[in-house]
Amino acid sequence: MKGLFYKDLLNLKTHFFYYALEIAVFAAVSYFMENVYFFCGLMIFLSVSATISNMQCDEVDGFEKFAVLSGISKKKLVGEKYLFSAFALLVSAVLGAAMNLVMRSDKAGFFADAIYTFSALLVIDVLYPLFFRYGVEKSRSLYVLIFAGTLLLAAASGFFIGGAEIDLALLAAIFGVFGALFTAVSFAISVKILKSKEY
Amino acid sequence: MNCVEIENLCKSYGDFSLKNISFCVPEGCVVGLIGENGAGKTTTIKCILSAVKADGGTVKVFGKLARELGADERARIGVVTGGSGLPSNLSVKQVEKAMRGIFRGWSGESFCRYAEKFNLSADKKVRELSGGMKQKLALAVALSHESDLLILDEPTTGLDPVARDDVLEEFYEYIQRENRSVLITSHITGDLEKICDYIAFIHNGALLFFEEKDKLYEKYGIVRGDMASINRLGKDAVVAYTASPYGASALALKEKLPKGVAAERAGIEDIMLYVIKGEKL
Repeated sequence: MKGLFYKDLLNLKTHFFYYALEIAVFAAVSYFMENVYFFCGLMIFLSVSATISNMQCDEVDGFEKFAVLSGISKKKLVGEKYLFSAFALLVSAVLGAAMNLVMRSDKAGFFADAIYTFSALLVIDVLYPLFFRYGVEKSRSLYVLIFAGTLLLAAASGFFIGGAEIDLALLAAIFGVFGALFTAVSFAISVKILKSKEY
Repeated sequence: MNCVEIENLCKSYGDFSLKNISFCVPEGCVVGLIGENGAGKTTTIKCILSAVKADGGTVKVFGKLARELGADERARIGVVTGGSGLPSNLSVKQVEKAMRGIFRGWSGESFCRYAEKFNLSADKKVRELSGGMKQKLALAVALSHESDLLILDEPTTGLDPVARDDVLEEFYEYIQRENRSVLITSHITGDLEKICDYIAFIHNGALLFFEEKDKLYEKYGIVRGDMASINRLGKDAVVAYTASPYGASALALKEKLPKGVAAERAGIEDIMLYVIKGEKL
């Protein structure tokens, strides 16, 4: 799995500059707007987009076929993808937390960061089975819908979070539990899809 | 002991079907799988590698059903198929590093030796390599994880004659080590004649023969003349013939030829061409 992860990281190396630029711009806008939710929300975009780009690279190269024909276990192949996305989510969550620290936000900012991260995990959980079943290109219209839906959800949750009428810690915990459950189900579906696939 | 054993393999895709294919890859041998485009060679290979599910029959690798092979056993198979599939954003050096973390028994030393032999520059990205160079890189990867079985689908396609010769030399060197076997498909039958011990010929999804290469040379010959002389050889002797206004020739079974009839040596390509394009008496 180490080799697959290393390959995925290097595959995205060319995107690193753009990611850094996006982070810098979002951080600046968020700082001057004094709205940490903006930055944390857009970090979803970054981790999901890293996931999509990574799958796209494999699709263009025909890596999945190479891996399966070379005897790499399908479970391992799928597992590494989820691990890679978890890593991307962790990076965006840490960046969100760092932004919260810089902007000296209250607890709500940190909980919002966690909620956004877990909602990005839910998006990824929906995307992976689609990607493994239909490929990145064919799933494009579907994931644009899912992505737009999640952004709307995130925006709506931002409205409620702003109202601070709800227990954010509980909400983050609910999102976390759902995220973990969905990930387990999504992983099982993705493995099943790959196992039934012919190359 | 056979490295690969295929018995009555069947697989259908729409209007194509692989019908009761049976052959084996004996340990320490090179088996060449021949046939025209769409004959079923790649499907057979995919069944061996469990990349497609067979509709019937059995495929055993290292004595075990192919679909039940564990990671350790799969790591003993080196594979090269059409389109390298290697990550295009990585350099040759980075491919080596990634593969080190992917394949058990990976030998960085072997990879560097092959990379040098195949003139693969370490810092060049995969996407910058020509088709032939990508093929060489895929070969270097397949040869560098201490496999006991190589499965190669058109490995020399896109290579110039010198590079092809280098690659064939490597295969030859590969099988010198005890118990190593190779299953190879190629349209360049000259390459197969150089390295193969056995030939399996698939035509329209059916296996026409699986024979030792030397026995094929003993068995078949080409007789040239006019149509009348070909007819005189008889149906039993003539496998297939071709005729033109300038003469006729036939692929014949040497042992069934009438006494005194001389036959030229029939190469693998001749056998393929007569069987596919020739006519029956």
